[in-house]
Amino acid sequence: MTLSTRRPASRAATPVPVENGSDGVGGTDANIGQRNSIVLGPRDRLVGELFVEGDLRVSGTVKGTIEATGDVEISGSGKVNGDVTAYNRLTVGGDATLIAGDVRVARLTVEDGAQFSGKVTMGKRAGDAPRAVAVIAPEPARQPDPVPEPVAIEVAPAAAEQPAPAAVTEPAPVVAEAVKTAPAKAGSVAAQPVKSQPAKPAPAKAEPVKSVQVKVEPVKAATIKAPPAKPEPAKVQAAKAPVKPQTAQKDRRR
Amino acid sequence: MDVQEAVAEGQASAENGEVKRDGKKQFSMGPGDILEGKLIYDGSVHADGRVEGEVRVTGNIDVASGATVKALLEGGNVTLKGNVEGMVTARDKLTLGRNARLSGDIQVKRLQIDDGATLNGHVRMGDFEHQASGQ
Repeated sequence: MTLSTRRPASRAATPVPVENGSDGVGGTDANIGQRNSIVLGPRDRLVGELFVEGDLRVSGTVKGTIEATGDVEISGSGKVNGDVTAYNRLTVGGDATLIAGDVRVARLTVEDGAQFSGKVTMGKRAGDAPRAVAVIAPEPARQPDPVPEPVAIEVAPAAAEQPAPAAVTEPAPVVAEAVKTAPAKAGSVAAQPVKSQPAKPAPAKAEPVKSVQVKVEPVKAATIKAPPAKPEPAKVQAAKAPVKPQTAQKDRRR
Repeated sequence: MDVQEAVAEGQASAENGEVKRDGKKQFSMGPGDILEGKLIYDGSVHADGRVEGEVRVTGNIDVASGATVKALLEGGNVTLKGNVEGMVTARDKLTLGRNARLSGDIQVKRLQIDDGATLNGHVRMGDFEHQASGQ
């Protein structure tokens, strides 16, 4: 495959082709000289996908998808087999062949004698549609995965808060057991430090810690990004979470 | 092509309706004419005004620039300059003039689209499997 660029120097200062494309009738011809331009000569062949920020001229053979922000011209004995998107104009010469699935263009010229078939969609901004689709497509694919996990996010704080009040009612020593780092505080003070400490699950190693760690895992899921939540698992965990600390506390009481 | 059209228009204005041209019939409509239904015609049709339904001819069809057509069109050479909505079959050549707006699938042997024309639909080019009515 050989790609020849007509004006390599023009690449350095690539003008904004999108604006040119939206200009429509007036802007194109005057700006062709400034835009990036790729030419596939008669002996050139392209298989695959090509996106050009600028113009594309094909007099060779293309099998694949072509997208250009400027003009696409299939000239000479050029043959294109595949989808074509031109944000501005598509020209199919009299000896050229275009056999496409989808043709999306703003303007279209087909000369007599050309072989042309495909589904043609024309509009002022033909290029916008396919782009939008491409961007949107991946997003829905990602969303389904995190869905079950987000629940855990909400659960974690709830669980952390719920045991806290229980601990508050309890005497200080409970807190001390839960968090090794602050036994002194636990002994001297009461509730407030307790709330903040259970929130940080990692350091704790005592029995209550187990329940805390369970809650921690959902937190990781939360970082994965998942807003919506299935309420059921959340409730379940929340319900379980308070129970464990209480039992633990009860045991200590006894 | 342009010369032919000029002749056709001249005759149409002179004598509205069916006219003879080179021994072939032509059905000619004016800008205020309305055709609704199905027309199968052994000759050519110059469509103007409003056309709804189906037009199948052995000769050529040309749709004037001010015309509004919502119909299935089938003819030898089909030249569109107006607004057409519907399937178009050209046994020989379909020409979309610069002001033409066509939304519908087309089947043609040859195709010419002038800059400025608007086309939305499937294009099939090649031989015709289905009937060429009227022949």
